Amino acid sequence: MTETAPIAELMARDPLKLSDTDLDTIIADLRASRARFVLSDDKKIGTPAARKSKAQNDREARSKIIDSAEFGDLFKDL
Amino acid sequence: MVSLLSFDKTGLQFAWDSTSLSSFVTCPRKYYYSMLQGWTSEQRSVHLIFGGHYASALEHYHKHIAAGVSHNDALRLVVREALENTWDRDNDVPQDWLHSSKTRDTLIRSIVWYLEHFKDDPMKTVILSDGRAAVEYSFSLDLSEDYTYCGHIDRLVTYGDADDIYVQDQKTTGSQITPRFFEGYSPDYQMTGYTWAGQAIFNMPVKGVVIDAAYIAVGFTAFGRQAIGRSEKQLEEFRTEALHYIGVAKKCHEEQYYPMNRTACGNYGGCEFRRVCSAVPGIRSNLLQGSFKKRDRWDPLARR
Repeated sequence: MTETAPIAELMARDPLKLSDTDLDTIIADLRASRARFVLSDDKKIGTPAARKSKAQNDREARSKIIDSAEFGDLFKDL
Repeated sequence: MVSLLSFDKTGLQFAWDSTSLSSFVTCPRKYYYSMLQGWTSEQRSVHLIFGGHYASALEHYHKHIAAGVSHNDALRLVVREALENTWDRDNDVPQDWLHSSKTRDTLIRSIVWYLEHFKDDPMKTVILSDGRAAVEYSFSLDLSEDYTYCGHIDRLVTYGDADDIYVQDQKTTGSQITPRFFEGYSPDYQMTGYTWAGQAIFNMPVKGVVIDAAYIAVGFTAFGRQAIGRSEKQLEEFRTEALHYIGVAKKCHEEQYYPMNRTACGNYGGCEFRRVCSAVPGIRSNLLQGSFKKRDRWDPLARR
């Protein structure tokens, strides 16, 4: 869902497909990271989130299918 | 062949900006290779790409604000624009500039953090007598009857207790912002040229340039600001000196001989053409063709 999409996913999305809400989510996240930087002086706080590789995304997608499948679905073709 | 706006039919440059002037003064041979022939060792510097997007976003933000757009809406507009301008449409992925700290993500972070850092900024955009905001102004002015000086002013601002008028310029750096960082801009063609042009274009007593510097690190962006003044005498000296060096460039053009400045080869970690100039003259052309690429030639009068 758009409002819960991780920032890295939003940043990696075609900007023409980003809604104003998506942009506000990115901006709010960056504002929050700056506020934490000012308070803590943690010099790693604004480090952009690592992006997942295509292989990792594919693995997770396959894993989700298996997690959500019913027991009967897994064996229905046998 | 593409015709360039800043050169006459014989190839003599008549419109100069700080980039071409600095290049020629640093080393006529470097100017010849990079500005006149268009040789470069890399496609385009990540620092120029990043700095261009960053300055453009902040310039457009101030233009929106001057037009009455709210802070949040203006911020959203420039973030969207920056994201779109840094999207690789051919491959449908974010642009990758192959740099550890100057990336698309840190660009967006730096834009948002800058506008948070200076949210209640006392520095205001100058509104011209015709009601327009003095933002995003490309200029070309007569240095003399034969030569033009041109460039692009991001924004004219009021700054300090006396509300003096300055040109504002954005700089990004990969190093900490120290007093030494700002000292690097005096004496300097770009900042002096901005002040000289600002006075001439806007007919206002422009005092100098306010530099907003952004230190771009992997995990954070830090900011610094300093006003750099220029006196009337310094501005006149700038004009005289610019014309002097342009006269030298004309002589080089007439003789088709651009000498090396051998004292500048080690500047800023070493000139990219050092290996070429170190080789015997007969093989330099082959070295250039083997190790460098041709890019579009620098053309100061071409609109940004």
